[in-house]
Amino acid sequence: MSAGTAPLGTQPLAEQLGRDLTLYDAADQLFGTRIGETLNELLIKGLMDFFDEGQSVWRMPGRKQGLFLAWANIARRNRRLRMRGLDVAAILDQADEPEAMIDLVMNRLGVPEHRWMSYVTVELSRLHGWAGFVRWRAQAAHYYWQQRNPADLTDYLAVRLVLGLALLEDAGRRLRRDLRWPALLDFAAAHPRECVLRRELNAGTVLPDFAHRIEVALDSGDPARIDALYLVYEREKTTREACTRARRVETMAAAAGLDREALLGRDDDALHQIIDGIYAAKAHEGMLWTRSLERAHLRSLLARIDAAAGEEAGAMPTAPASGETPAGPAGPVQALFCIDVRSERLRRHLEAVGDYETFGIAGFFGIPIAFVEFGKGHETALCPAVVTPKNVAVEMPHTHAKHADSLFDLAHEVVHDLKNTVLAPYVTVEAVGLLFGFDMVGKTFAPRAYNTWRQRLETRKPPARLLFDKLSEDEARELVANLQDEMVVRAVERHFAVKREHLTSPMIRELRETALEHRKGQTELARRFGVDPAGEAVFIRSLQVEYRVNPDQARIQLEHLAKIGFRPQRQAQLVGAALRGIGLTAGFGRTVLVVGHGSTSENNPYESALDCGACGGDQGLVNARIFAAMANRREVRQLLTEQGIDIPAETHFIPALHDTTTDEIRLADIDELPPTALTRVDRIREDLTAAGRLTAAERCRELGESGISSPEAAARRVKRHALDWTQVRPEWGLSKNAAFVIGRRALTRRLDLDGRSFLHSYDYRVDPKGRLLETILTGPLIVAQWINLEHFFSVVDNEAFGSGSKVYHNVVGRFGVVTGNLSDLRTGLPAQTMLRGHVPYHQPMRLVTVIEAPLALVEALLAKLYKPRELVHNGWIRLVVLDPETGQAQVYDPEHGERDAWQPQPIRLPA
Amino acid sequence: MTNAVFDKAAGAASDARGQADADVPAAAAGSAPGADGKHRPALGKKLKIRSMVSVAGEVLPFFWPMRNFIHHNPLHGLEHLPFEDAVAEATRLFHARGWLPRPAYQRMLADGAMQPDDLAAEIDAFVATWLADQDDDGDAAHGEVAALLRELLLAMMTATSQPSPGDREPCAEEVLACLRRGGQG
Amino acid sequence: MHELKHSQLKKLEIIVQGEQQDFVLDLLERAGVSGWTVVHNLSGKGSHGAHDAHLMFNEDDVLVMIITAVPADIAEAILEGLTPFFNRHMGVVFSTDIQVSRLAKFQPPG
Repeated sequence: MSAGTAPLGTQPLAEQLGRDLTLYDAADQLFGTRIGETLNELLIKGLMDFFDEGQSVWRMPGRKQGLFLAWANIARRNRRLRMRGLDVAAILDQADEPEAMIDLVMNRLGVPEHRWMSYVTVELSRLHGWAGFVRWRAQAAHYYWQQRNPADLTDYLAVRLVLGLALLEDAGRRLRRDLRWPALLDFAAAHPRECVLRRELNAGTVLPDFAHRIEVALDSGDPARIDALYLVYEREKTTREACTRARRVETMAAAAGLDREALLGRDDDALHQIIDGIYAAKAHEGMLWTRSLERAHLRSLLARIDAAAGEEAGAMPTAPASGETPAGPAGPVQALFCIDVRSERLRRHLEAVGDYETFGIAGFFGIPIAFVEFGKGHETALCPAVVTPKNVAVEMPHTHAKHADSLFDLAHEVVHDLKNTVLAPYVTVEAVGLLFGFDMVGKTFAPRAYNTWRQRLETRKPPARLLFDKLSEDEARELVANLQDEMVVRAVERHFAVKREHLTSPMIRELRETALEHRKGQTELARRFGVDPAGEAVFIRSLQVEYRVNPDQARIQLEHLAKIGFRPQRQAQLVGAALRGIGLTAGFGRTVLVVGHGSTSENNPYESALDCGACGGDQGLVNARIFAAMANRREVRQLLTEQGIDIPAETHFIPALHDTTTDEIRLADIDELPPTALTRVDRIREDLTAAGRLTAAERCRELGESGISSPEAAARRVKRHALDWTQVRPEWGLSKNAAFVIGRRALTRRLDLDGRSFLHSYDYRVDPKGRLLETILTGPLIVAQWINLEHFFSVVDNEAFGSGSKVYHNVVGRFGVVTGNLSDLRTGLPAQTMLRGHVPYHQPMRLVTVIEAPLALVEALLAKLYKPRELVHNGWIRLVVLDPETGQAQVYDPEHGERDAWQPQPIRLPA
Repeated sequence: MTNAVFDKAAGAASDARGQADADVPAAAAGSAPGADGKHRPALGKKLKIRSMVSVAGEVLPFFWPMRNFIHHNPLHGLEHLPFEDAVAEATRLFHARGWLPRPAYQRMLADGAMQPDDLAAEIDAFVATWLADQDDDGDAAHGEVAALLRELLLAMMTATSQPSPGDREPCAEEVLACLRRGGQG
Repeated sequence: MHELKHSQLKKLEIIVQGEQQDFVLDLLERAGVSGWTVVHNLSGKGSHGAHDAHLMFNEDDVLVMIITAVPADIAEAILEGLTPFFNRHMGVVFSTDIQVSRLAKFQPPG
């Protein structure tokens, strides 16, 4: 082999530079420096300081200017950096904008411009957790902390490049070498063999018995000596590898029951091809295993669907179609569950203990909302991440006004009653103002003061009502005015020590109007209490700035109030779409349960991960309550009747929460029910408890719990786990998810899917144009795919894609975890969710997606919808269509090329 | 007069031009230091850099703050590629493994998560496709090679352990045996 | 007194996928562009070239068009800024010479 090729398995440095390696990576590999590691450490320290969200005591100054400038200011004066010999200040003095700095550094490093893009990609991939966080923040315009302390990838890269340059130049000085691009390329071109030896040595892949010899030769600096040694080394390493591989082929042959003579009796060409084939298969091995897993799962699933359909056809001559069960004296109870895999077990057991008909629907029940929880200072989006909520729902405690019907009344109460509420001593100006000035998603109060307040609130939240009806414009204006008046009163009290009793309404209004710049001139207050014009001006200014009584804020408050709630028509539209989507448009029982899910566990920074993914990571009860409340409204039902969905007057929707850690189901808003319904509700509660216990027993087996003698014991055990803060695995969550079935419950009712399948109810017969299926494919399917692949990669490499062991996690900045003190921001799922000890619990396979619908309909939708099409064609999900019109299961195989992609096989399906 | 800019064809041409300027470092054209001595590139250059960073960063998965943790595909930025290619690219970029080590799959096989027939079917399909892609020598040779290859691969995957990178522990005896075999295989 | 002044500008019509809209608007903002219009929910069909990389649009994809009028030198800078973006993403920019008539204060001579 000639020296120009890459005989020892490493690609030539010249090729890897800028594509897989940065300049300092190359320096590290060639000269044993540790620039990459040092860079990461210094950078992470700076990032942790900048991104802190109130966790640490020290706060980095100047963060408002953005990541680059704030960091630069600190770095310039950082004595520790200077002590390391890094002249970061000299570099920073040359540019004051991140783009300029990037341009400067890249030029100084000598990287040719057409390689910048890939060089930058390598740089950004180094700490992909932190970089991913910056990237997210840059587009999260409404994230409070991003508004306050902005950061984007350009800033981030500029900081990285500055550190890299300083470290590289420093190393270059110490090594007395030029480590810039042209010089390194020249070095690689002039001394290719030396490069290979150096890289082997520093990478630790060198043959141990050669290590010392190579070191000595390199130190000698004698090119002839190095070249000679290289030839010897290359020959030796090649031979050894060849022998190793030869041995392995023999091992394989032996395992296959072939003897050596049979193997070696082949001619050279054949053996050559076989060895090539083995190499090719090894490169493809992961995919082969994965496809085997998928094949097995698909095979089993189709066989069981087929068998179940056969049984059903034999057992019941006229099986009623889903959604049209004849109502008995008590009638069936319908229950809507989230598509989450954890619902599958519970649904199965519930259907077994009583006359229940269950449906699967995305956990936000089709109602995307931004939710302001009482006592929390921010909005949370309760819908899948692919959807942006446009409407706000607010929670107000009962204690304020039991009979207040609307947000308007309640808000009135809150504003006027501030003194008397339990919150009064703690409600800051900002808190109240922000109540009506909230931003979409993620804005928080002044965190320190707010958090102290929060901790002092009673641990149990007072019962609260959800408000989701629209305010009229007049109501909104009056609310804002009331709020402003209240602010004025507080301001006067603080500034002039004049109590409310001494103020008249006209005085208050006058002050308000002055702050809003609707009038000028001396105010009655000033006249009455002898405040001079200067003092008055200062006070008005304070009203405007501190107390937020100003025209801009008023406009913002009105805009936000306008976002609260849904009009009745919209309510009916959303409820109707949801019901049609799952095929429940007739045959309503007297009770319809709407079951969201959540998870309770202490000391679990991943509590969010265990909550409802379709709800943006928060508890699913809010959406359930709103859906149920809407569906119970008379006006909404009238509008639904016009749509062709007739909900009987006796039918009542009841929201509930399924705690996936304890499998308890708690009904909510019971006080809204008529007394006649209460007996029914008791029966339902009993059934839910029984089903919950059976589910807990199943899960205990999966969790490896021993000594469980009964379902009751199982329920107690899982409850204990939920409350135990030392428990690192309160539940398996969505681990082991494997499939997504979109179709009628009839398809899966008799199957035990082992808690591994997402289930979305869908009735193709009411969806000729495919509009409902389109919603499922562009929403819930994407969410499920994300869940599936998050688990896939978190299990195949828990250190790189997952977050490692929870035991070593440290919360950083209140938004993420790192391992130990300084590490990349950990992404993905922790080891305890993916593995049992060291053995993978989750089986990494792509989501086996089953759609019960005519093939032509699915093909038409795929042709129309960009993202689902991309996912199917590129093999991110494994699609199979059960075509009821032809009785064929059509399996899509992306490896078969477009024309033969669909592989049919016959299958029996429910009527 | 309207010009269509950024037609893909034009884009490809300017790419090639860039290649020709291979090892010439970018000249700091139009970006002389300003009056305050600071480096100030032209507006177009600055925008181009910002754009470049943004596009380069698309391969990074978003990181949501933990409070709002939701599952996402870490390879979301690579969904325009076929799955296997995307995994190869991601593992290269992030220095990660894209698949479990062989023993993990063997254990799943033993536990019944898949059957030997499933694996055999996948191997068969692979061998058939792979051989078809090679030069067509003759079906007879293919048939024999195919059969042998299938058996060896099945044995490799189900009955042998996976060599870890850098697994080189030859002893003298085996080196000799290798040499005696005449080098091949 | 006001009179109509005519200025020579370039009109840029930037067509991109909906999800890239924010990126382009941010770029325009940084270029100092004073205003723009966004037209939503366009549908397009592309020329099916022999190679995927030459497709302008994906069939029936939903697109947006961002329209803005800027002086020629800013237009140049914007186009330069968009180069890396369009090397990766589908879309197109149409650039037209236009005259914009605006009422401006009359400047008396001297």
